[in-house]
Amino acid sequence: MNYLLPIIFGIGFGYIMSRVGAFEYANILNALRLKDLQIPKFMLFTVAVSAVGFFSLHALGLVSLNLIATNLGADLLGGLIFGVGFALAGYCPGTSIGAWGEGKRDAQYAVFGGVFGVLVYTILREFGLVLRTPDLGEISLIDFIPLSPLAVAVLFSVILVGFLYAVDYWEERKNKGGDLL
Amino acid sequence: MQAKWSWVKGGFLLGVWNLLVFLSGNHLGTTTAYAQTAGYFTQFFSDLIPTSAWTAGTCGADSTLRVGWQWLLVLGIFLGGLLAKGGRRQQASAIPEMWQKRFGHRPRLRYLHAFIGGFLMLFGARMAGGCTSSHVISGMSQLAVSGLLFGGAVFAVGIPVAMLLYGKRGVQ
Repeated sequence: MNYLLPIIFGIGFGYIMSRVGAFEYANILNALRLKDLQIPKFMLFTVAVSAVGFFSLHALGLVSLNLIATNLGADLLGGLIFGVGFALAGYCPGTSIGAWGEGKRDAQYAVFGGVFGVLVYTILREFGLVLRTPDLGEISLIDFIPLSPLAVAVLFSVILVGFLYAVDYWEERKNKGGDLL
Repeated sequence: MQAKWSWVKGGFLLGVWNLLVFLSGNHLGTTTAYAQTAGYFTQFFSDLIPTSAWTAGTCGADSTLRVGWQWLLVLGIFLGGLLAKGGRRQQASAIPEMWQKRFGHRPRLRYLHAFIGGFLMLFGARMAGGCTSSHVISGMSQLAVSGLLFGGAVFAVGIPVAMLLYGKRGVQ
């Protein structure tokens, strides 16, 4: 097991996210208030680049899919609970760690709360107190669209990037004091 | 003060970096590290909960409670934040300015918000099988349905909660 590689990967992630401002409470809250969408644009642009890259490598046989099984109830309910916590903390589980590294004390408390949250969730689940609906399996959009996976990814990313630039244009107009629409 | 990177520059770099992680045969994720930490401490008190309950993750193959790939990745993210600020850490009592304008200079209340927020996030993430890194960055890059559902749900509730917290006009 190579111990150096994950640390280097983590440092890169932490460094890039810090430089973009993803470890700032104000940037997250202003994104959720739809006042400054820098962070969502950054995240979704990351996804767009990653998706085309991933399915290119996939077409070359260099990487394999590793999906989290889709579970309608768990994904939606988990996401809703997560969303409330996200708005309260202003960090996500990953950025809490990085923001703590930056020296933000409140982020440290978010990490402590997180460990406690896992503890409570796991105990409840082990005692059968968390309802689990059946999984729909490891499904991806590529399973539903009759095109090659790479073509689906390119289409997805082109639409996503187009949308991001449209949002960017809209934000710039708004900041210049123009009308919202 | 360093210049902030644009979303295009940051997104491109993080996207390429994420591809290197994929190429190494791994997947980005942070929640399993939280679970392993919780499990590591719990096992001293009771072994009622099997190790597998803690190590069940989306991106790692570690079946023991030890410092593994995921945990080291999280350690790296911590170091990355530290390095980006040039090692100059903020004063211990510093809380976000924006939060202070809304709720006053009450560090303990801020820490409580953060703690509850962290609690709910990891509770929800474990339920959904991942968090922003695994569902959104890693999952959505593979066009996973689970990641799209999770990401949508997070913003569907995060937006109204943030607006409620800060009121309609609120602070800038």
